[in-house]
Amino acid sequence: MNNIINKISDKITIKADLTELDRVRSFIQNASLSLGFDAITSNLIALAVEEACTNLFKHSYNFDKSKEVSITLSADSKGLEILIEDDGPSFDPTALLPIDAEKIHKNLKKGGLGLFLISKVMDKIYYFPKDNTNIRNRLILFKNFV
Amino acid sequence: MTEKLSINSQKIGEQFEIIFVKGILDAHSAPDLEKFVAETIAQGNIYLLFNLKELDYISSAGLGVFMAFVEDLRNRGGDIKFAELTEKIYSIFELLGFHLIFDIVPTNDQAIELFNQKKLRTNE
Repeated sequence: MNNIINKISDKITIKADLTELDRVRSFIQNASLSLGFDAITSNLIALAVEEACTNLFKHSYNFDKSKEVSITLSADSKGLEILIEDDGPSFDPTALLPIDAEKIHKNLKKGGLGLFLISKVMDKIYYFPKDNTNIRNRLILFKNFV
Repeated sequence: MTEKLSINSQKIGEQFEIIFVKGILDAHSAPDLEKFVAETIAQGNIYLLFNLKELDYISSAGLGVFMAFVEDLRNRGGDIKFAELTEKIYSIFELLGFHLIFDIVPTNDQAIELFNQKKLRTNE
């Protein structure tokens, strides 16, 4: 599987700019399709990654276009791993999980929907804040093949 | 308006507008839809039918536009409904449970019928 990923292009770095979202979507969709995910699932994985990037642009970088986010893909026999790295203030989104669907529906307000979506699409979510050994925050999203 | 999103509307009755949303609705283009919907409501429309037949992509920012307006519209006796979603778009609505809080129907005519029933009930 790693060979397939390497053939696609395993990493992109984007500016914290909403115009970059098209590139993120294409990158993730193409990789997911190549790995054998169906079109619907590939679209959902791309959506989850886009939501993670949008949250970083907004909350960590305050839409400062000079800042960057890196997305690195790797795969093994179990599934696809997406590593998203940023340099902003550390914030652990997994601390907000699980999100109550009923609360989202009742409030019908903006906010929290992106993270809710990520949690519905991905099978595992990990977060590692930057520290002495890792200079960037790392969000890892994992999607099982089955 | 961003090139990747196209929005058109058609008035089909008193306070009733169909809005056709085409292309990519993400965090970049969602403000365009938000502005369009706000203007449509400001013109007195409270029954909004979104036809998503040619919508290729939607993210939470796009969904947030509908969530931002629906409560106010329902308080005023109106509503938001959806017609002609593709399988790809419906999968996102379903994942988030939006099919439980919004009417999503196959055709414009079915949505119009639901709106007319609601209007009759409101006027009773």
